[in-house]
Amino acid sequence: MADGALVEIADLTLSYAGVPALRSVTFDVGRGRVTGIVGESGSGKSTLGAAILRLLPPAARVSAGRILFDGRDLLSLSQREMRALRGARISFVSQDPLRALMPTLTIGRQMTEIQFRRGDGARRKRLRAAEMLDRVGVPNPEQRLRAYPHELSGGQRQRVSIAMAMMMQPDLLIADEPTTALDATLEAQIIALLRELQDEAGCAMLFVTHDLGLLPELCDEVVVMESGEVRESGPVERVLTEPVSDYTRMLVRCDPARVGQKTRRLPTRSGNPDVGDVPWLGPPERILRHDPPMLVVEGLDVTFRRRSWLRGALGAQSDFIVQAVKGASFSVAHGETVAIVGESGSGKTTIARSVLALQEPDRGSIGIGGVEVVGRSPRELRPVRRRVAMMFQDPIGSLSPRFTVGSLVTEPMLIHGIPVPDREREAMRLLDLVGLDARFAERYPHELSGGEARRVGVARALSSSPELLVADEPTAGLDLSIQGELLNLLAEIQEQMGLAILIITHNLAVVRHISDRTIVMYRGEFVEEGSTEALFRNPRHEYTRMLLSASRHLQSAARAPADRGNEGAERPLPDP
Amino acid sequence: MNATVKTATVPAPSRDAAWRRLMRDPMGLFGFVIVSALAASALFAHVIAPHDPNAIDIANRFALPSGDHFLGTDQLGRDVFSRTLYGGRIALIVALVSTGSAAAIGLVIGLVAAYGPRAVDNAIVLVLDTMRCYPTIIFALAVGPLFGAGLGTVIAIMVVTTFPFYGRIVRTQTLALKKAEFVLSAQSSGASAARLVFLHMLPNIIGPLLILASMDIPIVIAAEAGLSFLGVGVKPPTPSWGIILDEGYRSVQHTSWLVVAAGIPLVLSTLGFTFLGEALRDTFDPKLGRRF
Amino acid sequence: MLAFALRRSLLGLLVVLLAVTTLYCLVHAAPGNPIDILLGPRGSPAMKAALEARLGLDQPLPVQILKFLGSLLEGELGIDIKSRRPVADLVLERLPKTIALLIASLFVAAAFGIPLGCFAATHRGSAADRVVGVASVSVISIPPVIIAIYGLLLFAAWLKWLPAVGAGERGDMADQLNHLILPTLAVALNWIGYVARLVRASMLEILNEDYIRNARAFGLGEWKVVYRYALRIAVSPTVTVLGIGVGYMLGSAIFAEIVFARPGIGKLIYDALLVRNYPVIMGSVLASTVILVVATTVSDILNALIDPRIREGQES
Repeated sequence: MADGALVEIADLTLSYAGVPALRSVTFDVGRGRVTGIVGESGSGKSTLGAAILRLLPPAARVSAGRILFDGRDLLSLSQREMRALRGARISFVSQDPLRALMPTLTIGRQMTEIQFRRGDGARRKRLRAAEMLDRVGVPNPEQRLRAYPHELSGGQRQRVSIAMAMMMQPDLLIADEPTTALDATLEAQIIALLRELQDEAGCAMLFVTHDLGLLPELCDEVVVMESGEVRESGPVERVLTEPVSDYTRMLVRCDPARVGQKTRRLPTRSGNPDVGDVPWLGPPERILRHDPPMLVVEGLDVTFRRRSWLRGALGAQSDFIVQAVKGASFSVAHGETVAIVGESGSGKTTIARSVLALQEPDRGSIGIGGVEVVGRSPRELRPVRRRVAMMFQDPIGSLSPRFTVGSLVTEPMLIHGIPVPDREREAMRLLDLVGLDARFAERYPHELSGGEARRVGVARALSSSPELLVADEPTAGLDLSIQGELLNLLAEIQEQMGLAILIITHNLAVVRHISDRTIVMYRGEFVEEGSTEALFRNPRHEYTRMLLSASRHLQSAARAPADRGNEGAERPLPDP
Repeated sequence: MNATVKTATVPAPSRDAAWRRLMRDPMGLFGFVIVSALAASALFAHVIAPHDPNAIDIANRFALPSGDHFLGTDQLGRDVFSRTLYGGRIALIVALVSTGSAAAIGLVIGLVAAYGPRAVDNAIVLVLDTMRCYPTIIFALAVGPLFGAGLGTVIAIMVVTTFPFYGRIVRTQTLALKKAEFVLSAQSSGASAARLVFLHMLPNIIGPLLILASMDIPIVIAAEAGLSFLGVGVKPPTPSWGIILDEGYRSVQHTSWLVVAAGIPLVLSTLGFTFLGEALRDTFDPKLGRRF
Repeated sequence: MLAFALRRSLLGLLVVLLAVTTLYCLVHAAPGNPIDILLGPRGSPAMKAALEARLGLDQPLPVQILKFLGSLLEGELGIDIKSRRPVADLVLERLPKTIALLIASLFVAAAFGIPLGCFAATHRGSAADRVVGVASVSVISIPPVIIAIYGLLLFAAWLKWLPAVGAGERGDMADQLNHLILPTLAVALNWIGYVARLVRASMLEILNEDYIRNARAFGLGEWKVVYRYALRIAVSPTVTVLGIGVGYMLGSAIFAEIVFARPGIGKLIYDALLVRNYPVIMGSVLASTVILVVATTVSDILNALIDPRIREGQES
């Protein structure tokens, strides 16, 4: 029994309500080995994990193939036999830590209930739970056992999920994008923790991800998937350095983190001959440093408060105040790209919204082309708003659902009374500018893909011929191959129109290539600011170094086991 | 005027397909048929009705169904079938006018609450929450007699007791939409408040509101019948279903047929409207709950 | 938890005060004021003035409201104009009958609606699911007055299975329960359908949640996952709806009490209405408002017990 692979998947073919999701998938997971499954959205990578656990949605039908686990075909087992394996020999960690735990039961209760197979007493089970929490780096385990999931941060909840999965001492751990919802510094910690626990327990792991950068960190083998089919599989190093299939080659090429030198254009699905050939040579000519700069923000303070007089009157907890931005000052020159980088909750989006006068600051001034924005009425703001455009995070959600694409992209012109002889033709021109076919003009937002909706967002932003474009997480939710296309489009448009761009993002790999200057934000404050090259090469603030190392060491192909150390443990973040 | 305004009012693109789906759903089809039949019979009651609904014929009272009187006659010898047809008019008028006005008032109040200053919002919410404490029937019993029975009173009571629900829903929906990225996006490109509200928000509020209102219609029909039954609704001898039911109930010692006959149109029409409303909801907006 | 319950109860109290005051103003600002209705067309101005003075209606409205609220605090609901008995006594006498009917209806709505909805959700798409679906939608909006009358004709008059009128012999528990069955059916039938729909919808949503799949991935038994984990959360909207639903049930209870001649609050209101006995009407309506506010408060507190997130004021 002990020889052979732990999991052998052969010819697995599966469909959801008639739509194929997996086609003849074949690969093995070796005992004690970590196999990564990588693919873009819709590749079927998550379906695979669910198929092994036989926890597929009811609409799923397996039409062919086998899933051998330790020699037994899981597809032929009864529900009862299958249940005996779940949580005992196979465990599972899911993607979104905020939804992974039962909201109505304490952590302790959940951790003891899953030990229902063990004959120990309740105290022994609780003790084991506390030990396990301690092991995954959750501080004060005893106290945490009494907490409800919503009382823990996202990172801690993911640690709890991992603790629960590993406490069962499984032979196989299936981790479905366990770090996708986490910030970069947390991601690095969780990956290190997984590697450590896997080493210790000697179990096999199936690690599902969209992020090539994580593969060398964690995996021995990798399986590359695209639209339900395996494109390539093999040892991680070989696949990443000498990919055989075109698809893998494209994936590897498109990862901005793998483009060593700073470059203005990112590689795309269709290839990009310029990559690497156009090295970065100091501040480009498009930046015009005349006075006043395009955008000047000074001493910006923003606080959020929630006040309910009724609850207040009845003695409920008093106002809750969060200072989102503390004393932010920066400027963006004409034609310049500035990036504000930070993790979730750092206040970066609040800055973007203040610049667009969607959020009233408590203090500070915001000047756009020399015109003060703070404290202006909507009517007074209108001419300023013509000069600034914003792209919001959600590509589809930022398009009004009952408007056609054609009317969406031309709406700003209408608002600003820009004379347009022929709206239809104007819509075509804008769509053409962002590389969309004229047929899109008649579509509605919900009929677009994420990438298409993003392009429509760009077209709409350009429609009033702005001088400043504020882009909030422009790459959020886009696959790598589409990310590059979008960013190249922005760069092109910037060169053509001399736009100033303020990018708000958490994506360091992208920032490095496209921005001229970078500002690092942490807990509402700017901790470091400088030219992107200098900042990446020589970070001064401790938090910047942490951010960079979190994303950088995910790229290094191999790491000595020595520096795995106790990186998995909760590490206090520095004060700003 | 221009393309933007046109497209904003153009139905959602998939409406034709949704309509076909609705008609394929047996419950939806059933509801649609009943509601159409009800509407047609109410509209053409004066043509279809074989007798004057108020023509008294004491000699022929409590007659059982026959070729001349499909549903028999009541305690005064009036033709129950004709009265039922005219009763459908009353039911439909009350249902449509009161749900329509309640939804319209709720829409305006909800928008004002969501868009107005904090104090106005708080005041409106408090009033709406207080109004919700009066269930229709109880409120009608307390206030109805003061205004006197009649169609106007019934409609007024219905509106007063149901508009707070619409107001609440519109307010919540508007507050959510105010923070929606597509609204912020329009705002950041300089759109006026009127443009934001009428072109970007309203089309996304009215759809769900109409579906909720359609699901409320059977409740209002039932309530009107109930009020008339209690004597605080429509005044006799107006042929309302509630009045027919009340009269049938009073003469139940003589014949139980009358009260059974009076119930049939009520059961059928509430079933029809509920089925249609549920099917509409399932087709257009499956995430929507009911109003309370 | 205690703090939440206290806060919620205070809010409930505030809403009762507001509701009562508004109602008082509304009734006294209406075109036909209670005195005119009480005296009828033959009342002379002198009689009217005397009655107004006796009821304190000649004073300015704010004073009236304060006096009215003050007397409420002392448990006074006024004097019945016909029988000269305190309204509070009348109401308290009838209240237990109505509350028994409401509790029975809540119980029946939950006891039938929740399992039906749960069953439909776990057998989604099956024939049984469709049957439950059609049946529950069908009963949602049948007017309760029709259910009461048809029930009376079918089970009491025709089949003679159940008693037709009254609330049963005092002290005879079985007889009282027997008399409760038909009125409860009339009040609860809509709600069985409604609760079943609601539970089915929220169960389907919850069963799709990651934490439910994760619980299954730990090998927990299906029964435990569905009934101990999912249902506990899925039942929360039902608790809210039943809390608000008590108001509607009170309305339905009036019909049930009239049709089955059951001496509860609804019957009290109806009888008072026939003779325009306004103090009794106001007193009973106030009592019903209090019942409703208590019900919503209790349902909110129950929900906070079910879901810890609600306790801390987070929206669930």
